[in-house]
Amino acid sequence: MDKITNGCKIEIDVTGTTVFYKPGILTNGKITHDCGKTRSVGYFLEALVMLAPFGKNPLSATLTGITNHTDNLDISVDLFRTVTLPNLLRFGLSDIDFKIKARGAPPEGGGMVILSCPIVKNLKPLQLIDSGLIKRVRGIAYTSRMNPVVSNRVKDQCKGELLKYVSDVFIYTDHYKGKESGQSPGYGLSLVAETTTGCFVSYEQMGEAQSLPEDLGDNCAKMLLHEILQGGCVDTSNQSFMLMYMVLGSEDISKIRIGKLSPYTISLLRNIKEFFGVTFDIKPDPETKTSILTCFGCGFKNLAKQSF
Amino acid sequence: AKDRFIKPVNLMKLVYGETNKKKTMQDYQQKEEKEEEKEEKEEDSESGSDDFFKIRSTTSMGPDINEVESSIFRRDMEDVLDLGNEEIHKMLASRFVSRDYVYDSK
Repeated sequence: MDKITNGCKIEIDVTGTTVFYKPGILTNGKITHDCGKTRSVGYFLEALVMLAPFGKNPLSATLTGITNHTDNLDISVDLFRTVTLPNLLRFGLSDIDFKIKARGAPPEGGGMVILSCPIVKNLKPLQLIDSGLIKRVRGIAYTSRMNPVVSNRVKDQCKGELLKYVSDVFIYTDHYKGKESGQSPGYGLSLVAETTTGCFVSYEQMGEAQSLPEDLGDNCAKMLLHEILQGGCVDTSNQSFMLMYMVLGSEDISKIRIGKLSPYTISLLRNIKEFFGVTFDIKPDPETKTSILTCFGCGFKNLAKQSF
Repeated sequence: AKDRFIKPVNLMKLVYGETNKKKTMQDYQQKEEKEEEKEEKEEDSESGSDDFFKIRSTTSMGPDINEVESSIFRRDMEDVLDLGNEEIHKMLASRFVSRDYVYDSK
């Protein structure tokens, strides 16, 4: 926050129980940040991508740390690139660029990503009701500092499961070595299902120590099917991005169909009500067993930019 | 899989802890009165006493997040992962395009 703003004030009291925060103006620009080893880069990207469009200048952020975490707490860089960013384009953002320069598995990390985000005056409202049918599944099975055969084992198992439902399945195998592979070995799989209306449903899982690659492939495929079964136009991990952008949009009605509210989304909805005063109307759709969330955007405008 | 669906009435209540009814002037007046009472109580109570924590704890919105998670939003993994179940298999198959779907290069 300190690096992308000017004039902000952060004070933590002696006991470490109270934080005083006075916001400054979002300046963006070119920043570099080490994300540490406790949370992955996705944790920081989540906040950056919500703030960056409203800055004074375009953002070019270089983040280093863990790119794919085994705890699956934060979104990985793969799904951020293939699902989150295409979803955000619906709000009028364009020319967002995201590059994965190096992979970084836990515990040592060592990955590097570059996010370039333009600025906008305001965000467009969203109408995303028709989820369509799944027409194809794409995936990336990656290995870094490991035998590339592992990714092939993951791929074969996963593909076998998914081919029962759809014929168009393609999983890329990506092997990283040398400087691009970070400081720790690791492997993982991220899957994206695309619908006939251009919606994305995704799931990802990273390999843990002493676990079989076949188990990872099997579990990941089943969890993707679980996400698909829930329905909706976005998956569980991307619900929060979409809802936040809907609230920040222009003063118009935005609608989205989602499958099942995650606990994280529920707490976000409560925070949105408290901070922005925006309450979502949640209407269940018994036919598709999904919910339609409707809100009136708060009309947030880019005040940092002097003129457009 | 049948119990997966959340009851329509409960959604707004679970998220916000209240229904989405329009607030009237009376509601606002009652709210203001309650807030005034609260402030008076805060002033009366000595700092550091148990009452202080009681007042703080009542400010949370809606039901507790852990409570919500454990009741309805928990993923019923065992049911879903059982792809041998015909009902689940059929439901899943209905979410995909048919095998004779013409591929769109776009």
